[in-house]
Amino acid sequence: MPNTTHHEGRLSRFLPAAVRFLASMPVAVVLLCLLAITSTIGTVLVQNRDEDFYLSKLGPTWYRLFDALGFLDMYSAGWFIAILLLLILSVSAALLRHGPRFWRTSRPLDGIRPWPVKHDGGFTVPALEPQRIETVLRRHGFNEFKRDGELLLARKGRWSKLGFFFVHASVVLIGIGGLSTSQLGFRGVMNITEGESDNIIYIPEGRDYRRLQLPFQVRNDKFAIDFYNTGMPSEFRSDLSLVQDGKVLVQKRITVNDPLRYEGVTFYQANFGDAGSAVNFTLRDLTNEKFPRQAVETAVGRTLEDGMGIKLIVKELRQHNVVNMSEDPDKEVLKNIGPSIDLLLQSPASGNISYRVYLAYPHMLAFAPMGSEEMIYENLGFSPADDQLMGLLAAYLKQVSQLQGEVTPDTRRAAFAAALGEMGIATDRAAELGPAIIQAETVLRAHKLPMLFAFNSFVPKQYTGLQVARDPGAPLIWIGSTLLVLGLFMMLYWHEYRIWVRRDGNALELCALYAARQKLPLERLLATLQDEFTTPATTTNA
Amino acid sequence: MTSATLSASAAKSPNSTSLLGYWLTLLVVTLSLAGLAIFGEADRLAPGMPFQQLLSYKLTSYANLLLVASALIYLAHLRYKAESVGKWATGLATAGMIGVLMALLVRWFESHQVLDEGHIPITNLYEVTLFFSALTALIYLILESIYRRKAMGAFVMPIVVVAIGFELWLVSRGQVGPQNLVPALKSYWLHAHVLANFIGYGAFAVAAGAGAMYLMRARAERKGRCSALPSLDTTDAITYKAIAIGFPTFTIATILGAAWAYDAWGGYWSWDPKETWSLIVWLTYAIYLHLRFVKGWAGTRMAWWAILGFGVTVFCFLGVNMFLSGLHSYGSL
Ligand code: HEM
Repeated sequence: MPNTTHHEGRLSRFLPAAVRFLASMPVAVVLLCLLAITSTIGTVLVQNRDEDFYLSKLGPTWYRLFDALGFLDMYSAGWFIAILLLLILSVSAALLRHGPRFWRTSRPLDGIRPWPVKHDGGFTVPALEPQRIETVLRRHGFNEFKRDGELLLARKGRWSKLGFFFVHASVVLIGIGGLSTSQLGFRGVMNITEGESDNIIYIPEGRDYRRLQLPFQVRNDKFAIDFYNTGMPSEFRSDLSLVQDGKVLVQKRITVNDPLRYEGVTFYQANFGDAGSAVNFTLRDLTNEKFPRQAVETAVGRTLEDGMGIKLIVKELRQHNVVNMSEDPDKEVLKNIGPSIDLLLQSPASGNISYRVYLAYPHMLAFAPMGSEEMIYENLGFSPADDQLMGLLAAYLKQVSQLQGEVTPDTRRAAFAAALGEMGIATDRAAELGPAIIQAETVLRAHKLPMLFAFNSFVPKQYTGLQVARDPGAPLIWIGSTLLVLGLFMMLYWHEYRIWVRRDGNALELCALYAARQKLPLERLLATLQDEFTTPATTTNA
Repeated sequence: MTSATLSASAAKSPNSTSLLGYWLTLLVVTLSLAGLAIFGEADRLAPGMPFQQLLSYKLTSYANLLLVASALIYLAHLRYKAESVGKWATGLATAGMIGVLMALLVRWFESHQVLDEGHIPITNLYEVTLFFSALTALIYLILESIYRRKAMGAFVMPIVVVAIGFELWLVSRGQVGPQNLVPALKSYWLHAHVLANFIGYGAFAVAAGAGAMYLMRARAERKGRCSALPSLDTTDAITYKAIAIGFPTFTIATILGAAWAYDAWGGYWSWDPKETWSLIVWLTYAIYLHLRFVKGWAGTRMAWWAILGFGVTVFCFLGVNMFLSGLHSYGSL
């Protein structure tokens, strides 16, 4: 604003000094800078993790310091909320302070001083008739005129200062909206297994959880994942029913960007997980020289123990495995090779080994020994569930181990023939079965695995992970946002101009006030006006 | 400023209807060329085609060449001040910008042919960088056509060249082909959000270029040298204009992002690093506007502020992904 309109009005003179202080530019700029700078802290320090995490990453001293300063749950720390509150107060104070001035400057032209004390620019040209002046000014968008003897006062953009109010009021609205969301609302999670229902929401609070009970049950009728041809998930969806006293209140299929809203509570598709899918696999114990089989029926998440220190944990069922089949490292050829289970074997003798067992590729052996992230892939040659071939392999390895003296291809062939005999397999199948057995022998000798597995079948049982939120501030946020955008455009592209023209004998004196601190637009306008005032009427009117 | 020079500059400023006509013509040309390209390519496309064989990729390469050439010629223009040289620079920049926009339109069509579900090509880093370079050039060229000052091209087009360098790096890492969208990214809010965001980023880039030009001319004046750069007042005005385009657009973008988050994640704001940094960008330019409107700051200080603001913007665009999202592993603390 130009200085002329800057003196405080009667009302604002009586505003408490505190309001004037809060509304002052230094305070506003300091608060805005403070918010910008402190906001970065929470983006550098990971928020809301548990104590062990911070202790291991930061060490006890820094951990205690940061914790005490509230840096580890920063966006709900008292001092941070205080900055936000002060900002809202500052903007409210600015609104209060500018209100009276707004009414004063937006009055009809009658109330405006006949000739300004100060102005932002002007010029003097030879006089011309009043009608011409008004025509020219109208062409430049001036739409209010007041004539007072030898004086003409013109204005455009009378209501442009509304932009200021819209923008700053929107900051207050958005601030109040945000505070009501964080104080009165909640945001938590529910994991509901397919076919089951629940009414407890777990709400994270700092590093803990609070439980909240809904007055109705949320039932997961069905959860499903859609896939692209490559096997990547393309959509997650849950069929939800809200049920109270056996009555279905509402039903909806929700997807990731399409939640269910009911009485102020919103249910979002957030994630999913295994709720204990049933799996069936075959286990081969290679530590016993007969390689006996054992059929296992269990569920994901269970641990099997043999009572002698060996544990087998069913870690994960993956229904789809997308792998890159391309030989060329620059290219990607994605293929879905179907379901697998991850098993973790813990045995005192051979340590931890994780296995990935594929349903569709039983002869493929994928495992990672203890401490290794990288999977080793081998082709066993046949399925560990194949009793005949596993038996043959066991018999053959036993024969080989009983060989005396030097082991030559001939003695091996003899051992193989003996093994075939032991298994009651016709010797003419030696050529057919031999390569697979040799293949398996090579693999097993290379890796010394205590067990092999074959994955037979599964019945999936999944839970849907819902984010549940109540957000009473949201309407204020959206109203405030609309107001903000509207106000911004008004503020940046619509300004008030006032022009006084005074006839002084043979000369015309013009001066202008411009309500935005941009030099060029005013200079441009004045230059054009001067041009049009000095060129003969015939050309300017053309 | 004397009234004589004022009238001269006023007379020179182009008439806005003819400018609008010019830009509308360019829009029509872009759309029809893209249409032709799509028509020509349609039969060749097959699912899973490698990106090097896609027309959009080739178009992008040629368009990038034009943009790099225009940056060099703008620099030459700054040095030698020949009007004809400047015309070439503008022509090449316009052609390159149209080329990139066309490539994006073609890519949009291609994605529907080579993927199971096509989508607007502003969903991965490569695509948005393309979009950013085209928009920065576009916003610059619009301001050039309004203010009739070509010198600024030497400050803005190098930013575009840096973006192109970044694209090449992404190409070398193979992160370029059209990809299927993960479920969370399937949202019109999100697409509108990204679109608005990059108009904002482009405008902030132009503002930073103008700010740099201001500083250079101010230095020349302090040393008593004459300078071919536009006057300080004009440059200051261009800087402001670019921010006046960028700030509201970026505000809209942030609101659209909040609307997306509200539908996808169950909350319009969760203080995650990306959100927080876009708030910081917003605050930086809000402070700029306060200092300018209320304190009447202008000139050197505001030029620095525009450059600083773009620094914060770049960090929000790239730095957050590179340094902060990996923070779950705490790698960079
Ligand atoms: C978080 C946000 C904001 C705060 C805390 C804030 C604070 C303030 C305060 C306290 C004033 C009064 C200064 C005075 O009376 O001297 C003011 C004025 C002003 N603000 Fe903001 N503001 C905010 C957002 C914005 C935004 C987003 C804009 C966008 C353009 C903006 C533009 C202005 C302008 C142009 C004035 C001067 C109005 C005049 O004197 O005519 N403000 N602001």
